[in-house]
This record gives sequence, C-alpha cells and structure tokens, in this order.
Amino acid sequence: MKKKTTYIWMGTIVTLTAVLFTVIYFFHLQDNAIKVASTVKGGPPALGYFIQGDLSTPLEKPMDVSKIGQFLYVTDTNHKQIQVFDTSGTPIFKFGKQGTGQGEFQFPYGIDGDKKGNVYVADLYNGKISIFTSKGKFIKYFTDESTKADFLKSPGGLRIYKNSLYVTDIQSNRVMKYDLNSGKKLMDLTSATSKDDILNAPNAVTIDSENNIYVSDTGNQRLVIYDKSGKFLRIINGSTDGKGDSKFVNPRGIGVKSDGTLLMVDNMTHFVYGFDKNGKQVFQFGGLGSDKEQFYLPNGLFVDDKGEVFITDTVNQRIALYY
Amino acid sequence: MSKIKMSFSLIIAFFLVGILSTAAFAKDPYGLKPVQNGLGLDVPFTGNSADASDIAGRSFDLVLKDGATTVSTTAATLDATKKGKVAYAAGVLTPGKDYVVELYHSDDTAHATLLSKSTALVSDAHNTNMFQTPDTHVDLDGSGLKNANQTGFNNTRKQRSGQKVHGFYQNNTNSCASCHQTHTGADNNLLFKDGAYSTCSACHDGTTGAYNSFAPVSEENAHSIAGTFNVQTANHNGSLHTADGSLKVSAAPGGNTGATDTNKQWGQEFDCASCHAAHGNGSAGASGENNLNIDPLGWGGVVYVKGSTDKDILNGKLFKDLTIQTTVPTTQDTPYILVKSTLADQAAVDANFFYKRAIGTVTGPVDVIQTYRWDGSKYVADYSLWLQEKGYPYKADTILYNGTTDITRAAGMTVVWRDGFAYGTQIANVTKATISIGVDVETTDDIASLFDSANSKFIKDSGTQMSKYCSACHTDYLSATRTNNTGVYSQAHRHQTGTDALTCVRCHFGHGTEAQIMKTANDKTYYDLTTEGTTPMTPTAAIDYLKDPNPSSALKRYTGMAVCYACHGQGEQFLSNQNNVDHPLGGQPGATRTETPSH
Repeated sequence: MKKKTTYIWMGTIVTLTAVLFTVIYFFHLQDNAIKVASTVKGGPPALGYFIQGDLSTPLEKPMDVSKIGQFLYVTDTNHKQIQVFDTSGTPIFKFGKQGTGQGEFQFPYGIDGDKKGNVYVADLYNGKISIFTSKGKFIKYFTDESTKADFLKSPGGLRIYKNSLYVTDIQSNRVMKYDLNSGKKLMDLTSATSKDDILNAPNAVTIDSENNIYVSDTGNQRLVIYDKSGKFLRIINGSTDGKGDSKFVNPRGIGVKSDGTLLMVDNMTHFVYGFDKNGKQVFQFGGLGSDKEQFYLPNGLFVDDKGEVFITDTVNQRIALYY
Repeated sequence: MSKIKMSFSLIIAFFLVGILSTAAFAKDPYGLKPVQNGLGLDVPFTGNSADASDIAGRSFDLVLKDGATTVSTTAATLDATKKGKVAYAAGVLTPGKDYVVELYHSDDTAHATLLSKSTALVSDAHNTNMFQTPDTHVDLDGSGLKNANQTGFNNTRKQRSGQKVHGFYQNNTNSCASCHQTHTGADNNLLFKDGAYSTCSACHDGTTGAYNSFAPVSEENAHSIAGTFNVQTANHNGSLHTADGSLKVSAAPGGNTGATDTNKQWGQEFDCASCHAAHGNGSAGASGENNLNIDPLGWGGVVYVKGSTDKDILNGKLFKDLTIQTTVPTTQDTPYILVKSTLADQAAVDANFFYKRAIGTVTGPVDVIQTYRWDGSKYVADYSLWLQEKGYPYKADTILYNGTTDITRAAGMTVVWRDGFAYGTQIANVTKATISIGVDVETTDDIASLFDSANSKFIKDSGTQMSKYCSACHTDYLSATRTNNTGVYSQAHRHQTGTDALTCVRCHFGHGTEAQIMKTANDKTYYDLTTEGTTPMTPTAAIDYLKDPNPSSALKRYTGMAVCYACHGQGEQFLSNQNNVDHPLGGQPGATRTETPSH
C-alpha cells in the first residue's frame, strides 16, 4: 500500500513537471513573435509583428519567405536550412543541412509551394530546385536540366503560380517559366527592351492576376514587366516612365497585391516601394535601422491571399509581417 | 534700439541670408561639369534655357586657367540639343594640379561676362601623391560651395585613375550607408553589427553581378585565381582562410609578432578587410578590382631599425634618413636602399622593365633615384610602391630631402610612386630620403602571369609582390634564398618565395580550397578526371582521388603530394608521380602545359 502511494506521488510529480516544462517551452516560443503595435496609416501596409525564429538558432540571412498552407517557410540561408513557423511566429520545425546531396543546401534562396503543400526550394550554389513535402521530407529535384546546354545554373527567386513555376537564374541573367507538373521549360526571358538590353542578375520574379510577369532586374537596378507571353511591357526604376536614371539600389523581392499594387524591396536603400498598375510610385516605407518600421538589407517579399505581406530582413535577422 | 527696430533688422537679416543662400545653391544654368577621361578632361555644358539666344550653333569659349595664367582658350558650339563639349587631351592638364575652367560667349571677345566656372583637375595613378590628405575642397559647379565628400578628387584614398572604386560608388550617391551606420555602427569602423565578413558577403554572395567570394566550384572556375570560401570541409577536406573575424591576425602560421608586439594590427581580427581595402587599393591590371591593400598590416608605417632585436621593427617598411648611394653596394646594409644613377645606367640594368609602367616617355640624360632590395646575396633593382599616407590612421611617408628641405614635389622632380623611383633635374640635389615600401599586386585573370616569364601577360616582379603581400602576416615564410639560415626573423630552410617563379599563390589559394578545386600533378581538375579518357572516373572516385588525405589549413592548389610533384618529379624517388621522368609535362605547373609522349 505504502509502495503504491509512493508510485502515485512520483507519477504525479513527473507529470506536473512535464506539464510545467511544456508550458514554459511554449511561452518561450511565443516570445519569438514580437508583437508591435502599428503606427502606419493610409497607403502603405501596417506593421504587424516580427518573427525572429527559434532563439537557439536565430535566423541568419533569411533570403526569402513564402506562406504555404497555414505555415511560413523561410530560407535560413546562412544556416543552410528551412525554418517553418505558424503565422503567429511560433517555430514549428526546420529541415535541411549543408551539403550537395538530396535534401541538402549550400545557398537556399527562393522558396514557394504548390497546391498540394509541397515546398520548392531554389539553391543558388547547388544549381537545383528541390521539392519537399510540407513536413520537410525530400521528394525529388524539380527538373534536372544539367545535360542541356542552357541548363538552370543558379536559381534564385522562385514563385509558383497556377501550374507554372517561375525562377530567376541569377548568374545566367535569365528568368525561366516551367510547367509545374512536367518540368518542361515554357519560357526563357533574357532581355528587356531589346535583344541587346539583357537582364543582369535577376533576383526575384512574381506574377499578377493577369499572368503578367514582374522581374526584379537587380544588376540593372530596375523592374522589368512582361505580359503573359513574355512580351516586354515596361520598366520601373523610379524615374518617369522608367526612362531616366534609376533610383533603386539592388532591387530584390517583389509581390503583387490583389488590387494590383506592386511591392518591391530595395535592398540597399532599405525601403519597400509600392507602385500602382501603371508603375507610378504610390508609397514607400522602411528605411535603414533595426527599430520597428525599419529594415537592414531587406530581401525577400511574399504577398499571401489575404494581402498580408511578409518581408525578410536579413541583417536584423527577422521576418516582418505587414497587414 | 527698440524692439520693433530689432525685429525689423532680424527680418531683413533673415531675408538677406535667404537670398544669398538661394543664390549659393542655385543650379548652374550652363551645367558646366568637368569629367576626367583617362588623363584628359571632358568639359560638357549646355545652353542657358533662360537665354533665348543660346540656340544650336551658338559658340562659347572655354578658358582653362592655371591660377591667373590662361592655359588655353577653346571654342565649342551648341549642337541641336543645345549641348556643347570641350575635350582636353591627355597632357594638357598636369595630373594632380588644380585648374579652373571658365565659360564665356564667344561673341564676348573681351570675356567680360563670366557665365560659369568650375574647378578642374585630373588624377593619375602613377605620378600623383597617393594618400595625401586633401588640403583643398572641390568646387564642382563654380557656385562657391565646397564639396565635403571628395571621393574621386584630388588624391583622396578612394580614387586612382583607371580603377573602379569598389563597385559603382561615386560622389553623388549615398552608398557609404550600404556598409556603414553613421550613428549606430556596432564596431569602431561603424560597420553593421557582424563586421567586415558579413558586410562584404552581403553583396559578394552571388546574388548581384559582383564577384562571388562564395562561388561553388564549377567547371568555369576550376582554374580559379583565389579559390572559394564555399568549401566543403567534411566530405571534401576543405581548407579555408578563416576571414570571418574569429581569429586574430597574429594566428597566421609563420607570423612572427616579435618580442614586444608593438604593431597593434597583429591583435586585430582577421577578416576580409585584412587583405582587401574597399575604399581604395593599389591593384592594377585590366580590372583593378581585387582591392588588395597596398599597405598590408600597416608595415609601411613601422620604422625599420637596423640591428633591432624587436622582430616587428625588423619587419617595418619605413626606412628613415637613407643616404643616397652612388654605386650599388656589394654588402648588405638595410633591406632596401636608394641608389642615384642615370636613365642610361638603369636601362642597362633592366631595359625591359624600367619605366614600363611610368607615364610618358622620358628621354635625354636624366638623373634617377632607384630603390634596390637585398635578395640574399646582392642588391637588385626593386620596383615596389612608395607609400605616402598622411593623417589618421596612416603613418607611412616618403620624402626626398635636400639637406633638411623637402623637395619631393619641387619643380624638376617627378616621383613615380607606383614603381618606386624618382627622376628629374632635382635628383642631383637629393641628399637623403625617407621611403616607405608598399605592395602593388597586379590583378590578373591568369595565375601564370605572376610567375611564368613565358606567359604573354607576365609582368616582372608581380609574383614577388604577391609573396610580399602574403608575408605581411606570414612573415617567416618570405625568403629570398633557400639556403641555410635564410629569412629575416628565424632560421630555417625553406622555399625561395621572394621571387616571381616561386610566388606563394603558385601553390596556395587565397580564399579556400577543397577536393573539387584542387588539381593533380598534371594539372588535371575534377572536371578533367570525370570526362577524359575512355573510362573517366565517377564523380565519387574523382573526389576521393582529389581529396587531400592529410587535410590542413594550407589552402593548397594541388592535392596531397601533387603540390610537390607538379614541379618536382624527375627521379626514381618520384616513380609514383604521374608527372615523372617517363611522362613529363612541358610548361609550368598552373600554366598551359603540354603532353609529351612516353618513352
């Protein structure tokens, strides 16, 4: 009888201890999502909060973010891994490690998901796009073009729209469109206004509801917009009609909201610019710093179905959520 | 004075200040803006939109003045877009000298009405005084306003003719803020929080058009000059120059910090900025973009004292109060000396090199002061850079004296800073000198151009300069000879690295190495092994073969013993060497090599 009572007491203590540690653990994780009251009114989106990642391994050079299903997938580039959060910023899990093998990364960059929740990760250095399940299990490489003369060499920005995958090939100065299911190349954009006006280190691509293609032509300090067939439409570079000197320095992540507003991260001015459908700048927010409403070398930008905007802030090691 | 009068006076004062300020900041209606073109100068201008007679075809006079003296008057007419330009050819303006250009209507023959003016100067990599603290400010548009940011003007550290100043940064951008935080920097260089390594890698990571320091090994860069920081340490036995700030400079193998460690730079973190000077550099060549610092570790400011027991002082490259020799001594005095001679004498010493990189053609009987260095057994002509760095934090200096008078910049004296010599009529008056020796590494896209005299791009002394550069930290590894008791700071047998032929980078990378970028003794790369022959190696087999079985921090270009076999191989002790006597390769390792038939 006495022995049985002892077991009950010991079991109770163990259970209570486990519950206590679980509660502490989740409170600890919740602290990673730093809630910030918004002070922004009007045109630009309002700051929601920051996501900093698992405090044991904070994000280091987060290059891109995408909302796949109900979770945020972030390329934690310097850690050669993907970190996954719920939308409140709670770390869920992470996957990947340094290497050149399957499921391994050297420079994970662009990230997006398909309708099944599978995760596509472009690796700039390994030259491949890896497909994972939503739980981070490696499935296969998206397409192996290494035997072709014009193979995908250095994939950077990546977006999936309907049944197509769009990816920038940074070192090859190209943007490609593939059939998502077959992996067949459908389009290869290499230039802008003329054949000689070639793209230069394009870092990001996105698509609007009319299938127009937006390319962040980083090395040329401009955005280039094409129609769905790849026909050049216009340039945005901060000057009138894109004809003057560029005001951008290192344009990176881009996204289009449902109302047609185009958002672009300007990496070295540390601002995010907003443009209307005609390319006219309608707002900007950000600026250099580590305080709220500020960025330090922001890079990736993702707009979800609800119009929420996620921006990777590489030096500040966080993801900023804007409503 | 009543309060009303005081208020009225203040209003008038503010009004006048406002008027004057407006005038001062007013944009030049003629857009006069000289732009350096090579060693020449282009001066574009426009017609004044407010002047109805400034139409296409109207003639203007550009007057170039040196102080009050008119150097030239050149007419130029407006084109259909109401733009005009005068181009001054190289040689019209003396590099480093301040001029003024003035703009007049040509029909104003008396030049009575000045339309616009601007300061004009050209800067020259060779003959101007590098690193001289700017003592003038540049009036860009003639408005009287001085430009505080003098990047690219008047010998400031950032600008050297013909070179990029680290990317596209220029006067009218605020790109300093890309790397520096004015008020919230996290280190004493105001860099953002992770220091130089993270600062540099923010751009040099392959996401821009800039050089990718972390480029994965590929067939395209299999013959890389510098190697890569993107090495796989685990499976490929990588070896990395740990430039992330985690080590101090004093950790360099072979680095001899001396007894007193007086050189504070030994204690600094080793990072990208330990080798590269983002703000300006001495790198020459086609692109000049590798930004290697011309004064690594600040040795140019450390005074050399003969006989000192302090090894830092013995490592110093600032030689004070050198007497000027008239003949080349046969015994060693200081590591560097100065010898006075004539152009004809020097041409006899090395006709193919002397003045090769100097600007202009020097003719006639010209007196010359030339640097010589001790090569272990004799003094040889040396073409190291002469430094002159005034002001914080630089201490190096080069001064030529007549008695106690500094005549470095006197009329009749031309100093060729980059090649370390001076010539002209004033040379006869030089009685002593202080020289500071820098390092000038040529930028090249062909590693063999540093050490292979048969290479079409070879420039004599380039390999030696490279070795001197490495030995700024790896001090004990620089040796002019390979005989016993060589080297300055310790006694050991070693490779003769202080020569072009055995420059450090012939065997070592600067950034990092691993199996996939190392070569065999026959200069075969991973890509050769996996594609050549009837039965090429599998990728796994090739990596296993190229993986250095004894991994180290040596940054080797060749795997295992191949780093020896590439050059050594003739003899029975090298029977296992591919490049042995039965199958030798012609040419230099690392250069273009040719197969010779077996016998």
